[in-house]
Amino acid sequence: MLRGLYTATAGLIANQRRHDTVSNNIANINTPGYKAKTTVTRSFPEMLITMVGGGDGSNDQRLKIGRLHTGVFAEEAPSLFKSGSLIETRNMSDFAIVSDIQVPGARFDESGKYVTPEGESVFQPQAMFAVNNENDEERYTRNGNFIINAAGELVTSDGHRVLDAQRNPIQLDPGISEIRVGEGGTVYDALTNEAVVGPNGQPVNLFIARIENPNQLIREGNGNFRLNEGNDLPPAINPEDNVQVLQGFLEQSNVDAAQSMVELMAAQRAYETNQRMVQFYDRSLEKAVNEVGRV
Amino acid sequence: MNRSLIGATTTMQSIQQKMDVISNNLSNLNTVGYKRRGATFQDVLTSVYQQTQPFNKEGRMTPLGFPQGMGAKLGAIELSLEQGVLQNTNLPSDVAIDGTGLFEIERNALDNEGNPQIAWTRDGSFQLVPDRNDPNQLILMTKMGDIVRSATDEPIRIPPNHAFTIDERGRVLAKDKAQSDAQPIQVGQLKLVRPIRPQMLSSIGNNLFGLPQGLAVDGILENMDLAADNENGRIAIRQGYLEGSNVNIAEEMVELVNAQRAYSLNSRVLSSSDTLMDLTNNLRT
Repeated sequence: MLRGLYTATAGLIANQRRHDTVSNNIANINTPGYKAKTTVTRSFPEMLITMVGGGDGSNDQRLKIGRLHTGVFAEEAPSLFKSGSLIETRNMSDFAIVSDIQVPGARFDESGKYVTPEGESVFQPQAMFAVNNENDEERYTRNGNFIINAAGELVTSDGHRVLDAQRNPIQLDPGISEIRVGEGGTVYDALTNEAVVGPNGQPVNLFIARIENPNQLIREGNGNFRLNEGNDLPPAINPEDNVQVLQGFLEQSNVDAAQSMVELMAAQRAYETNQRMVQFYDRSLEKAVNEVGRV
Repeated sequence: MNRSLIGATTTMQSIQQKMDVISNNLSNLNTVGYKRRGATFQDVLTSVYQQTQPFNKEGRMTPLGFPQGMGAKLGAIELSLEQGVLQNTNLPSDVAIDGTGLFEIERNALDNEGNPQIAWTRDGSFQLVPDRNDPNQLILMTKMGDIVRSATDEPIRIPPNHAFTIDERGRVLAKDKAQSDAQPIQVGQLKLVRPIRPQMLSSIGNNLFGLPQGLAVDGILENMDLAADNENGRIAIRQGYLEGSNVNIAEEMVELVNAQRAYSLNSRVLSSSDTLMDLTNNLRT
């Protein structure tokens, strides 16, 4: 069979993945805290093609034709952690993180990447809210669209409990109805202006985790990310980290509509091109089957 | 499986729901005491195409696996208890709350245990209705005919031939119309509750808030001490005023435009994935 038929098929599948990824970005254009994904494709492993026959038939006598890749696949979908724009909701349980964590010696570009002169990539650390899911496992999110439930817990809209600096879920006393959060993340009772205290008597602070390499985060849906087992629990942000928590704001999705539409069209056309290639190979095969050798 | 097709469909349904929330806000633009709601999105469950160890090539940035989302769904629908604008009506039976609080009313219906149903509202367009047992007495009721409760959970009765005023602390004072020098007498105290967990309140129609079944009032709502809260400036009752809705038409229109644009973007995605399927279908022409 013609080798290129399968190469074109691999191109179809890879471009379908690209299309799926960008359409999911477009779907989440209004999702608070959503981080756009990009598709990274990689060619199939390289092969060395040699001519059949020729020489004396031994391996080292074979005539080498050249190198060849026989396809492409969607390798990974890294997220773009650029900050989204902020909108004001005036809702006391909505929070946005503004973070621009700098690493000494690195000048990050817009996508949060810096390549050292030695050719090593450094990624910009990101600040994230930490929440506990129903199994008390830590998850990280930039979607600060929280609510206060009947038990007085600060929860995400899928019920994950937001953690304080001691990594305990935040729970408000029944007497506290309105909260105010300072830029440092300290929680105050908005009516009395007193700091809210936790079960051990210490003031409650929103826990903001510092994710050293955000590319290690794995998407779980509902705006949640997790770190693979084997990773250390991320520390809290440092005071000098240039991170702000804003109350009454939400961070918008960082999806760019125009760019996404272009990407969508590009993926669609690339799919179409590969489809044509399949058709051409089909015609070649048709010739081979029906016309070559006809007497 | 065509994920973009399914994802776009899911998302369009969610955007439709968001538009429903917005249009409900807009249609209640002029409803007295209406509190707007806001809807936000969440991305739907991500599934991961598993990849084996050989995929872990040099230069790879992320852990193994290729995550794929399935569009967006509606997350929380949040109630905003922001203050609405007070409008002067000069009607003595119109009462507005300036601050955070809700009137407690007794509905003309019984709950499962045979007790009168209790609900809460910000709508202070009350009226005086003759008491069924004693037609000379007037009872303070809502426009829907539900009894406005006093701090002692009783109806507020105005004696015959009395004019009534409501002061900033919610005290209802009645004065004999026949005697110009008569001292006003206190006939009741409006009952107000403070929502501690406002997001737990549910709308039960007719501009009323109720509690979802199985949820106790304790911890959600708290009886207010109007005298103390008026003293420290947290709340004031304004007679002769009505509270407008807190819907901001400009904000809602922006949200609507936003939602509509997102809807059309997703319908583009839908037709694009349709094209992909069409191309696949025509592989063999």
